[in-house]
Amino acid sequence: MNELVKFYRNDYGVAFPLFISGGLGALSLAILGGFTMSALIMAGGFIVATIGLYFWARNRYQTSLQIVEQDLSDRFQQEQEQKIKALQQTHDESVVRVCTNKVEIEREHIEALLADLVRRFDELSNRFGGQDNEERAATTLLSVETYIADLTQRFDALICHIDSQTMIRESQDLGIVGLDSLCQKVLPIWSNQIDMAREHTEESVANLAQRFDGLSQRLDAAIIASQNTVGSHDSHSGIVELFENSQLELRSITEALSASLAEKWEMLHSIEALSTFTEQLSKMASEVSNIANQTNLLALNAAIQSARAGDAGHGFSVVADEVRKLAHSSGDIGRKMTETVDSVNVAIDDTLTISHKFAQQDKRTLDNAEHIIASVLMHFTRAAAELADSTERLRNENTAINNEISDVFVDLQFQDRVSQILTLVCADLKKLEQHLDELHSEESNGKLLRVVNVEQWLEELTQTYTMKEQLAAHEGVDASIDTNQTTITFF
Amino acid sequence: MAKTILFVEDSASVRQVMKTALTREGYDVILAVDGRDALTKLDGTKIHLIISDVNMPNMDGITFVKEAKKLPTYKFTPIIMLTTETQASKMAEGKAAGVKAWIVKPFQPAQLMAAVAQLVMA
Repeated sequence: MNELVKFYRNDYGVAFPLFISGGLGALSLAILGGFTMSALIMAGGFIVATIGLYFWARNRYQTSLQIVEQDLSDRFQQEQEQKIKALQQTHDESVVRVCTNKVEIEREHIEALLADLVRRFDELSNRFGGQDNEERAATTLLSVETYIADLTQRFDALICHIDSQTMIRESQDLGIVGLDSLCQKVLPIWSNQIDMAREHTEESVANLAQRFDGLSQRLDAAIIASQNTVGSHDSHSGIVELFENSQLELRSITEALSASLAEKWEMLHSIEALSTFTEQLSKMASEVSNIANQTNLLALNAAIQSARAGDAGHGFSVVADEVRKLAHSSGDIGRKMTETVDSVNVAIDDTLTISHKFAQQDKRTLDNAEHIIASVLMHFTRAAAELADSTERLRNENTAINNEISDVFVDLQFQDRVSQILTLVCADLKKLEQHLDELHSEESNGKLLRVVNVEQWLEELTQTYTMKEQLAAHEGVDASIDTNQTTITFF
Repeated sequence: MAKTILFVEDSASVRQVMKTALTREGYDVILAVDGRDALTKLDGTKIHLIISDVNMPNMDGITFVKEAKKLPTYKFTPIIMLTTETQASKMAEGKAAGVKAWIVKPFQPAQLMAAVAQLVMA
């Protein structure tokens, strides 16, 4: 409809028919005239006339349209005003009706709430012990104003009572005034101290474990070095083997010395045998001297006989002289041989004496050496055995110390458990500190103070425990830890 | 060739004790201070066994196990939880995550080493 009104208001309803009919008329004239110049002029004139007719008709159309619109507008306005007046009247009536109902309902609701409030107030008064409830309960309240006036009066009385009770309680609690502030300041300090102690303990225990490990390693190295040095009876190295080899070598030396001494005794026996030969030589020298004496006597007799023979025996006397000379020479040789043999005997005797002396000295030296070597070897063997025993004891001690260190490692794990327990204690201290901060903040903002739920607090603390020992300690039960048995669960 | 074990523990003393005990048994030991640190150690290195604590800062042991099991290289690596935790719910959580054994501190090194050898050889 609006589109149609707009269409006509824009004069398209007048312009379209006129221009279409004008165009068709002009076209008809041109066609009927055979498109001659006169026909075209007539068609053009027809178009001009049509345009003029359009402007005249447009003017008339708009004037009449304004008159109609004005008329319609006046009539519509009057109708609307009448409708609005009727609606307003109806609305006012319904609003008054609804509001009346609501006010009644709200009044009843408020009265119920006030009655409940009075009941709760009575309970509150009971708790503070400042009101006479039976007397109040017997009172019949008829209106909200009465309720409110009564409540106001009773609130004033209760506030006075609470103030008096608060003053009494403050005076009673004077001994712990400032405890909250003290806790707020001291709790973080306690937490920091516990944290610091826990960190120091952890660091120290880690160092302790490292040192125990170092000691154990050094002990192992010492045992290995000792074993390598001492060796054992079933191994082919070490001091025991060295002693055994040395004993064999020394024994071979003493055996060689004994053999040498035996040879020396054989040589002395040979020299002693020589003395018998010198006696024979001495006898032979004596026999030579005797033969020389007898020969000399024989030569003397021959010389005597030759002298008796005179000149015939002159030649024989020469021979007798020569024989006598030979006898003298033989006698000299015999004497020299005797002297030489005697010298040889003396020399051999001296040699035998010295050799005997040396041989006996060598024998004593050898006996002494064997005794000393045996003694030294015995001492060394005993020392080696003691060293081997010491090494064995050291090895046993090492095993025992390793077991001890293993136990120490178990005990050192206490730090981890203590650390976890202290961490939870610190967390609970911080939680208490935050709680006190919140309470203080709420108090500063004028809000009512919340009551600490102790049971809930302890229950939440219980939930943080990871060890059964913590729970046992929480419940005040003795909690002993079995460190000899490791709890292992395989899945 | 020595077997390699990754040990995850926030307590320095227990780390030192375990390093000593495992090294004396001939294992190569890689140490990590929490779950997040341990994940950085899982860089493709061949690891034959993982031993982890449960309650640790930054990333707890159970979360670490779940993350480790997502890595293809370590999907079948056996894991031992070494902890003071004794709650059955936590143990069930660990079992569901793929843990092979749950050992409660304090532990005897010899008994722990027996369990370690059993899982390393498995």
